[in-house]
Amino acid sequence: MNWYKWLPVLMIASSAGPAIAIFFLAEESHGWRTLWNMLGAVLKIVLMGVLFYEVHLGREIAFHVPLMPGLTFKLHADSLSLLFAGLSTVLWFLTTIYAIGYLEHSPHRSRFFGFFSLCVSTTIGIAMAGNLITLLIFYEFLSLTTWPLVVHRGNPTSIAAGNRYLVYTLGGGALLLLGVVWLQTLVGEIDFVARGGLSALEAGTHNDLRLIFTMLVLGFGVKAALVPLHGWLPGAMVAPAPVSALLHAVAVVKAGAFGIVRVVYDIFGIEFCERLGVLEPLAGLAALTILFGSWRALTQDDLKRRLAYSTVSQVSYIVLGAAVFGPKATIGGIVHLVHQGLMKITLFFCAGNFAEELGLHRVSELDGVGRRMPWTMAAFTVGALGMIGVPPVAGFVSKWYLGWGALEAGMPWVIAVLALSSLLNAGYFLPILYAGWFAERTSPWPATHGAPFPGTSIHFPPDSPANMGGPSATETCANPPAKLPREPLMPPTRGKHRASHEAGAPTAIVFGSEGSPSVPGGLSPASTSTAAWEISPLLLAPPLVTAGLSLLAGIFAGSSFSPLYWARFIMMGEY
Amino acid sequence: MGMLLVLALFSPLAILIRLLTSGDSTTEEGLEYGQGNRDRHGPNTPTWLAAAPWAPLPALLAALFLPEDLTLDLPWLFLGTLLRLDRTARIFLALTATVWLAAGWYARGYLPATGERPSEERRFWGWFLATMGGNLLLIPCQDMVSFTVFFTVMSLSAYGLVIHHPSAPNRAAGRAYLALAILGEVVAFAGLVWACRLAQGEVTFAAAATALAAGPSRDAVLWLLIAGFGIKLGLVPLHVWLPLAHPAAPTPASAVLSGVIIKTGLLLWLRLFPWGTGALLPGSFLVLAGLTGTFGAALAGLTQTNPKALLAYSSVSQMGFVALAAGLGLRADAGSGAEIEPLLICLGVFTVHHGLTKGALFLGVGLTQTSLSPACRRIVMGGLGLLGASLAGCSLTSGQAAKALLKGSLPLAGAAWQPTLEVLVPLSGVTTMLLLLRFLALLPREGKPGLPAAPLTMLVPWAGLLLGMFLLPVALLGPGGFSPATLGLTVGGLGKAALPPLAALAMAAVARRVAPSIAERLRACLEVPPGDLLHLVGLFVASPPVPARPPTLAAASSDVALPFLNDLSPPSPAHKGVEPIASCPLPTETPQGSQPTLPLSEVSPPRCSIPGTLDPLLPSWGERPVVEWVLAGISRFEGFSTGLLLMVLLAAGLAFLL
Amino acid sequence: MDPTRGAPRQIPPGADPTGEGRAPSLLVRLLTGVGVTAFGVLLAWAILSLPPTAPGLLHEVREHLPRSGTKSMVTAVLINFRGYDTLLELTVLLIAVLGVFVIRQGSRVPEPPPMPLGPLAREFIRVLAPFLVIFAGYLLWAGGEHPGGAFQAGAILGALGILLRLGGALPDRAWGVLTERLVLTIGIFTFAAAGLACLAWGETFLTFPPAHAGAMILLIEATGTLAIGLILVLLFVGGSLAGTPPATPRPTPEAEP
Repeated sequence: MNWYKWLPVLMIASSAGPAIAIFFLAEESHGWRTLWNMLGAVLKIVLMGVLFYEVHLGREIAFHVPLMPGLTFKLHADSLSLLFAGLSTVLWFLTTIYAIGYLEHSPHRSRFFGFFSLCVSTTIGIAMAGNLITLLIFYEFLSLTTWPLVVHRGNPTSIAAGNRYLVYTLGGGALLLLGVVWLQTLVGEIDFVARGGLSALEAGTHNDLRLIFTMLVLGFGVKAALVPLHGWLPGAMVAPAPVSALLHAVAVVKAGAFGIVRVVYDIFGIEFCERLGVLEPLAGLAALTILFGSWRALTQDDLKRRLAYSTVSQVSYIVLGAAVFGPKATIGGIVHLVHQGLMKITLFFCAGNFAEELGLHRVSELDGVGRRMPWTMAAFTVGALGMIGVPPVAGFVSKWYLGWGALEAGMPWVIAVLALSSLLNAGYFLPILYAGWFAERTSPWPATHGAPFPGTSIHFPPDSPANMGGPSATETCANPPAKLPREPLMPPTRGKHRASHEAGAPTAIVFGSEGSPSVPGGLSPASTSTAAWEISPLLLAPPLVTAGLSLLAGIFAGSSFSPLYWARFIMMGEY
Repeated sequence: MGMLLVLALFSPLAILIRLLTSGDSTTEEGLEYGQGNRDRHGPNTPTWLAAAPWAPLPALLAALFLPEDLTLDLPWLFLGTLLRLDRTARIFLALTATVWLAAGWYARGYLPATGERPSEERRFWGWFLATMGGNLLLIPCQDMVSFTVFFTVMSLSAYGLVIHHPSAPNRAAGRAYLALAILGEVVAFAGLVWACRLAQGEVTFAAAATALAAGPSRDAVLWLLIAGFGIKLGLVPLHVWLPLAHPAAPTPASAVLSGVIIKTGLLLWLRLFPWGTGALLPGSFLVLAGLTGTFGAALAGLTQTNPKALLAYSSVSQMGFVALAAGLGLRADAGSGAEIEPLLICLGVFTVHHGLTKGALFLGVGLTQTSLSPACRRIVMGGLGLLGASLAGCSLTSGQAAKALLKGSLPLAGAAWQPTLEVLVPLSGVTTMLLLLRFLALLPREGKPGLPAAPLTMLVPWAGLLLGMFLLPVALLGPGGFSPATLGLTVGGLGKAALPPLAALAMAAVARRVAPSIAERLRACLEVPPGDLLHLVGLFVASPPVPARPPTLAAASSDVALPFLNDLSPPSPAHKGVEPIASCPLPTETPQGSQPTLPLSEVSPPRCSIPGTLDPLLPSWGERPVVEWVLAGISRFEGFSTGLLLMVLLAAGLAFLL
Repeated sequence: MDPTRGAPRQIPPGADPTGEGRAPSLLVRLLTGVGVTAFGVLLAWAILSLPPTAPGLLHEVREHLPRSGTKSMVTAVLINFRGYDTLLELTVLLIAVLGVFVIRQGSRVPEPPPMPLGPLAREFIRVLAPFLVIFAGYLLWAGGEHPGGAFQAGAILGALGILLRLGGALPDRAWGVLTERLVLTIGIFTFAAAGLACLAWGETFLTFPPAHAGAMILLIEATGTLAIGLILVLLFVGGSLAGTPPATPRPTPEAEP
């Protein structure tokens, strides 16, 4: 009996159902909320397992329903869907745990988790879409369900960022709609078929097809943060850390990249794309994005913005893998979908931990954090090294295959791009690692554990010596100095440095002995929060798990349980 | 059986894990700086500390006693891993394990003797064990990916050793080291991927080497591999990190750095290079670079004031020989009857000789700084003199054997080059001897006040390496199966070997007797700061990468400790040094007219140049006015509603459609 | 962000609650102008390129009327043949109400209720109100054959609500929040659910199977009436009327005559 065809529907329902239930829960009922979340997550993982098993055996799993004459709503689970869906499932589970810990005392949690679960449903829908119409429907839903999460905090910055996000994604969606409709009028209804179904079209339509390809790529490229359509991503970092982690580092940008991969492989077919000649401009655009994103990341001091630009750069590896003609590059791009998701989410989790526990938002504030939060910093190190491409973390494997594929396709300049990108990545990640592990702390932490919901003011405990100093970081945020002058040669200690900017601050700040090296944050009595853990286990476990997974994905890449194996499995169908 | 090998090689990492999991249980009370109780822990020595010096021993035993060509195939590891203990691996493993063993025992005594606190000792051992683990594990790797993995582990962990004492010059040295290490990794990655592609996807060295030999892009790949791994080897002009990193690292770390770590680049060359295929261009480059290194580094080293920097230049100089030999091997054409095998053997012997000798020299530097009895001091100085002579190729030392084998391979150079090389190689003996005599002159005559006598754990390893240096020719004659003639142990050979050192001695004596002040003025005039070429780069960069001149002995102040005594002065708050000073850029994000003013957390505040590793080498990107203007423009562009642009595109698309 | 829940937001003095104060930059305005003009021109051109005379669809409608589940051509077209449009129209109405809510920004009292009318007017409204309810119900039912249907009945209900408000019978917190939301959205939900139910019956979305079409149309229209009625009332009142009333003190005995 064909009950398999309900599996994709069940997958989507397994988080949509809890979402609706959670919307109706009162704020205080965290027990029920957690129950619904975990139920959905576990159910999804189980379904995922079943799907992997079935698809590996070669079974066809498709569900379709005619929406209108000529428009079919189709869900199918092929190997590429499962790659993306599997990644989303596992990471959703971990991010839910993280979000429960992160938003512990924040308002509007039911609203948050409701939309959060809806987002994951739509991501799974995108993964499982069987044709362009379905993909489009879920793609637009994704924009709608992620917007409330971007503006969750409700302060003017969030709303501005949300506005910008809407403008970009709705514009991209409109372009995408246009492309899809045009394609449909040209060839009728078309499903995702391995190797694409357009190669039979006659040469007269080729110009139209090129234009359609451009529109589709640009439409997906907004979410995939291709330059110059990436402007929404750095601004969207005002969202809470779980949102940045899952959505803007994994789900949303990956959905865009996934869309491009689908278009290239399963609509047009890679060989047809090669004939049309659209692959080289796409590769060029991807290379431009890689280098531009990395370069911009060098100049950012805000940690999450730096990671956002890094995402811009890294997601284009996937697009680059799709744009280089060759099985190895395909493998590299597709497996980077998983690897980059794991590594980037680790980085964002750790950034969230630093902000939550110690009030650290800038790279320049991260001195000595490795002593105070060694496990978080260790996870960050693994993620950062993976981004740079240091073996044996997973990023190395994807770069290896991308380079190999590029050489096979006769595009050696891609290796130069990869090398340059690695160097740039080293340039903006290594200073963070250095500051965290090797630098000495000379000023107290901006805020210690239990920093209340951002947007309110941060209060140091009254007897803390830091309270005698200048205003805290957040208060400085509220009154930004208009334009700070270039600084002359400054003495080394940063505490005094900051104080001299703020008007009216007393210049004498008591910090204890100058340069005493290993007194980490011990100046404010409230900072030694929990002696056993550096931070709540709910916030510590997810980054450790994802860092471990990225390490394992690299170390055991040759085994049959790695993402690489599955990517090879996918590739076999595409050529 | 293969698992035994893996277990043996894994012991440093296992001890490292034990170190990381054990809390820092030692307290700091009751320990005074500078006094260095010999065994401060007493019965409370942590297990990892007791085990750490023994860590390389299983590897040494494996190298000596495990069967040759023991293979372990692990297709599920990385991208398919192959480990084999072939002859090259055994030689390298034996050398590496020996030097690490000596350095480890030395460090066990050295660190307390120089007043390191237990927390710093712990930090040192952590990085030490990690570097050791990477170094040992990469030796039997027969495929490119696992080699790269462990090579990277080793390189990055060595950074921790370089900046063990965080003063500003050390941090600058660390920056130079790390920047070049990463650069080397990236270039090597490109080369290795290309080689893998030529080998149709095989990642083993054997397959890649055969593919390279036949392949059309052989030269391109060779250039990439030369650049990538030549950085580690100290190939001119990529050697600039060596003279900076060696004085910065603590003495036992410098010993392994020069002794074995730089040889890992050579190991890859030995495994992967297509020997004897007539690669003229890369081979000639290597020969020339090698010669430049040999003589140039020796001359630069002569002008140094820091004995460890001088030894670093000496390493560059000796690695020049390695490059020379490798270049000869690449240039040679096996098809026309050239014999490559003796060259490779020569490289192996040279590696072992240099590893033992340089290791002992570095360890000796630290010995001379402790308080030794006059008799002991004379023995140490004598031993160091002998080591120097060995480097110069004096008779009856391992150096002579190595140089003799090298001379034996010179016919590979072809008729055009051979005569020149026949002259230059002995000449280099002269320069090396001069260099080492200068080194002996730089060593302190008495120990630093306040430091205790050298414990046995420092003396015995040094003596062991010294002995090993002498035993090498014996081992070559006996079990190695070489004939005395090839090793130059004929009367004529011995005489010829003795000439360069004696000539150098004579020159040095003359200079000292006749015109010491002129010599000194000449030296001060020509003084090359360590990290020579890096300072040329500094002319184009806002702030110089390292302090331009190391403080001379006369100008030493209590504030900046004498550079080569960095690792001996008690760690004090004054160690912090001065931050790299640079002016701060303007905010890069400008608020929009159409958007509400973004609070400061959204605007990158004016920060001083990016803190950390790379900023003196790469100028702060936000600083230059042109760059700032471009960045401001880009932010404005990003803030601009590109969505509107999309709408316009939409309208255009509709027009097309209709 | 929820304007109908929680305490009214404190708007800082001098701030602009609607955010209209700051004008967009010149470039944005220029591009918007260009985009809108281009779009308008394209639309005009598209319309002008339609054929000048068209036969219309009267014939097809008459042909399919028996299978549409209703006897009125207007209702058939509105709810069955062009049901998607009607669904979207309901959505537009809802969005209008939400817009009004947003502008109100959660200030609970939309406007002070108007001055109560005189006794004659109050009596008139008291008599008229039940009649209007019956009339609305009649229009709903009559929509099956004659002119009528959801929108018309909903308009009547809206008028009823306005009259009650003017008469002072509709206080500021007339019903619960959940109730108001439910009624506001019930029209759309029912319509969409009916459309999805068609999928279950093997048809495409919003293609009513002839056997059930009549009942479905009636259900859709009924819920639509309620929704439209409430929407119109709230549009007139200018905000939400939901919430729990404050506890009123018990009238003192002297107040009774």
